[in-house]
Amino acid sequence: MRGSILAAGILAAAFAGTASAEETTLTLNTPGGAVQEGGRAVLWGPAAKKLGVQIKEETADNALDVLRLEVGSNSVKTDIIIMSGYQAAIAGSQGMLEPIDYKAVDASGFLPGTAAPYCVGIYGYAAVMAWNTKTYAKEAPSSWADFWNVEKFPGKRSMRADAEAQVEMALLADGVAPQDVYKVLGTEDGIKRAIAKIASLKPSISVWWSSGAQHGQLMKDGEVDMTTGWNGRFQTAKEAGGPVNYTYNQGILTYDCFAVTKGSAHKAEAMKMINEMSSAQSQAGLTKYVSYGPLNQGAYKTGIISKEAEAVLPTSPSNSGAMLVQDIDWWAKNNDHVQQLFEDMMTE
Amino acid sequence: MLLSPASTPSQTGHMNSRSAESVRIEAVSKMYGEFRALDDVSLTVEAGEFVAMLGPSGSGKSTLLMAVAGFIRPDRGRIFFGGSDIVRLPANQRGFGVVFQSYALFPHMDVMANVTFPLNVRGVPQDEARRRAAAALDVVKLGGFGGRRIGELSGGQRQRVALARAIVFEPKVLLMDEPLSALDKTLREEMQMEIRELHNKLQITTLYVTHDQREALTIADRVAVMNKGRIVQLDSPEAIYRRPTDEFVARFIGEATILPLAKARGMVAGDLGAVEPSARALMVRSEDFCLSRAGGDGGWLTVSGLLRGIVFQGDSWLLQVDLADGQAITARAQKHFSAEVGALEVGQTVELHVRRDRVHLL
Amino acid sequence: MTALNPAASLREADNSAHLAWDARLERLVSFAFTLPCLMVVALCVLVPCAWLFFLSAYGADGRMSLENYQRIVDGASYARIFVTTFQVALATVVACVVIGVPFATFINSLPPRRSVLFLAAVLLPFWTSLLVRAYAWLVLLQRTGIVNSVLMGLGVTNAPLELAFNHFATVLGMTHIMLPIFILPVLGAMRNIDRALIRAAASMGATRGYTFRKVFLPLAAPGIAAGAILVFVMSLGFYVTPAILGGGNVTVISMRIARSLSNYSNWGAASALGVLLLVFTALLFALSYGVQRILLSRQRS
Repeated sequence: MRGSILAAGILAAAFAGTASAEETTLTLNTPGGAVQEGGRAVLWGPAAKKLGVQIKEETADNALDVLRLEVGSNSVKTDIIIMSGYQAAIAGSQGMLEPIDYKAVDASGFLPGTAAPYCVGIYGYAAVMAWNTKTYAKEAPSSWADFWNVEKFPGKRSMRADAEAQVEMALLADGVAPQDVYKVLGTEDGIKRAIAKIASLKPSISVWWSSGAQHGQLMKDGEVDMTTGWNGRFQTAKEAGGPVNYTYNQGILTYDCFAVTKGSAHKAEAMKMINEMSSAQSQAGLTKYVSYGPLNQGAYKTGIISKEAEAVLPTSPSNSGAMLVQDIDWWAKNNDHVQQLFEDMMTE
Repeated sequence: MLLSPASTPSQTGHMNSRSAESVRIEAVSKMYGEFRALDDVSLTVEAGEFVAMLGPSGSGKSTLLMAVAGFIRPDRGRIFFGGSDIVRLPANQRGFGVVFQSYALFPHMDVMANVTFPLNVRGVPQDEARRRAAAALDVVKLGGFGGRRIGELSGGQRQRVALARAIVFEPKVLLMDEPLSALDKTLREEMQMEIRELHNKLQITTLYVTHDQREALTIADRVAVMNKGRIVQLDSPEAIYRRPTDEFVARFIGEATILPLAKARGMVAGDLGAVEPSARALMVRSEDFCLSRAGGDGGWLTVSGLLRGIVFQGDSWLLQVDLADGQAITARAQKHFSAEVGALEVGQTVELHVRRDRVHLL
Repeated sequence: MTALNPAASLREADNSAHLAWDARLERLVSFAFTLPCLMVVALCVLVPCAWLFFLSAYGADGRMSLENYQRIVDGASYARIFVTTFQVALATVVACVVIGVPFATFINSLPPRRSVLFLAAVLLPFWTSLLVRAYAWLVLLQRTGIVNSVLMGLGVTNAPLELAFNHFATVLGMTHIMLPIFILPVLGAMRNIDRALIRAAASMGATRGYTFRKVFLPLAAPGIAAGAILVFVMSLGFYVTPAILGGGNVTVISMRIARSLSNYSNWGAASALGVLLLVFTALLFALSYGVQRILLSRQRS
């Protein structure tokens, strides 16, 4: 019995060996949808061809669950996984990811803070402020201070039913300089200050949104006059002729990224793949599929991205300067605590 | 005066001032879709009278009772009570006591609460209500049962509670819808006598529905036999039994042999005497057949047939006899004919005699 | 034949042991028939429940600890979420009773054919998705919704009323969903009330109102209690409706459970909430069962 299992193991190992000698197959986990479609066309498709490897695609709603399952049970199948920068920071700190080998991956052209120890950014998106152009026809709000100023800009507000990005906005509204936001949040008093700032706006918050689709709809219906949310949704609503506008000023820039599973059998190939997929050409190409911005700033010099497109992308040189890049390591460390305080505030 | 000898003077005075009232039903009809439940029915129940409505199921007897109670609105017709037409008056304003087949006791109340219910409705003070309820329970021989739950009572006890509840507010009319049909035979017969006694005591105008002919004959002053939504005969119990107006009544009440006259003339020996031209058949009650012409000079009629069976039934024997044309008759021989019955053998020819005055022409 | 020994014939005559064995076998066979069913119950109910308890006792670091429960005790929001959940469920029960009892009484009073029609009208929403019903209410209630448009068009109000994204909208949406579930047992109890009892009360002079209060309602009470408990227990687990119609202003336990799982994959925290909800519900159930038994025993017939 034991012998036969051993024999089967050897046989399997032998086959695996011959397979890798001829053609390596990397398993890549994606969130599906437009990202998967675009990624296949311009990211891993061309990269795999160039490197002579095969890509096996899998999809999952929650990348963290995939990692917990595979790493936790010592049966790693996934080599490269797409996840949010914040999730990657958590997974990295819990030992579920391989550190990125920046000798193999060239991230020199990236926006600062978007090539992290455990993951390399793919595209960036921003949590911004949007408003109803009819309600504020005379003067549009332009900063988080305006968002909080219900005297000057009366109307119903909506914020996310989750502390993520909302605490940063609160501190910016409270007069903290962008470069000092995470310094202030580094102390308990700072966190409490942010939560208290949100609590002060509560009487004007009629809805706490929980999905991008929801805040898009809220603005389209005129259900609220001002909301936080993701730039892509507002751009879509604006293009559809809705009474919606938004600003990148003081937006919180965050990103999704490629990470490598701890214990991946094809670590080196994975790094090479990520390097290929992080090129200016690749990232620029992805803008044809998703309304997110490339993080490799070289992408804007490839000529692939039109001037009109560049104007609305959050990571373009003209927009990114006004934004705060989210500190995913701070979130990985403080999430549970901040969320707890946020929920206490929400349910109070 | 009636419920209890221990009634207080005020109650007695109140009760004495009450006199029985008649109920007059005039040309009442009711259709259920195509089904004619009541077909132009008229009936007067005299003040203090006990009338039983008897008939097979679907004959309209319960429908008529429910119309009097006010639960069913007739399509046309009038119901007079106390000098006025009450046909449009809601049930809760008629003030009639009703006893239901299912007893209709409130399962969530104890006996006392059930019996005081109609008094509470009328705003009678609680202690007087309890006193009167206790008196009513005494009348139905359930004194001391006030604290019992309905679920703890036997069928007979429930029936008595229902009765107490129906009379406790001293209604001028008592309506009973097959009140004894769920009881076993012995209990039923006992209750029949009690209800009769109660009526003798209270003299409430009573309309009583039953499908049991013996019960109707036992209990009522007059019996209304109903069939297909009509009253086919309204008469005293004896007249109903002895002189049914038609074959339906004759067959529905008691055991009877009915021979068409044309056939009877050929098979019956003896002088039938004068026969009304409208008569079409003759009827003989089973117990009026005799095995011999013992006494009596009023003339006898005799019929002979083949004895097919003898059944011992305790108080009598049942003789099954086939006439020459195959028609079966049943004769009932009382116990004191045991010698004659003992001499008979199945398969032999037997002669049955009946006194002329016991033969009823239909 | 005649030489049979007396002991053997006695043994043959006394067959009680055989008969007892037959009886036992019969019980065993009938038990064997219920076995698959019991196994399904165990697999689908007991095992997941045990798993829930098991998971809740493990911390984020994979070691056994009470940290999940500690967090619930410490966090101010958890107590509030529990209170909100029970408040919303209770309000839904009250709304169901206030709307459902008169409605069931009405349906019960109709002739069979028409009562089927009205019952179908109540049950119809049963077959549409929870999500669709929640969004339908949103269309009606939101600031730019139909109700506000009509009210403002008629000049009843100048500013839109805040109808959506609050407790009111949540309870309204949940009542809409739970009403058929409430009405069915109530109607069942009402249908079982002997019509003769109502007639008897009328014959004794009682008005409709008096009869309803003193006879009809007490007899329908066990059905109303059953319906109320059903609605209450089911309402404790609502997720979609409070999430959509509450607009984040109504946070119930199931939302927190979902959040623990989808955002943080914290099975321990989610399980601990599930366990607590289960325990609270079981306690309430036991309590109401006792109450119902008292109610029933008072009117057993």
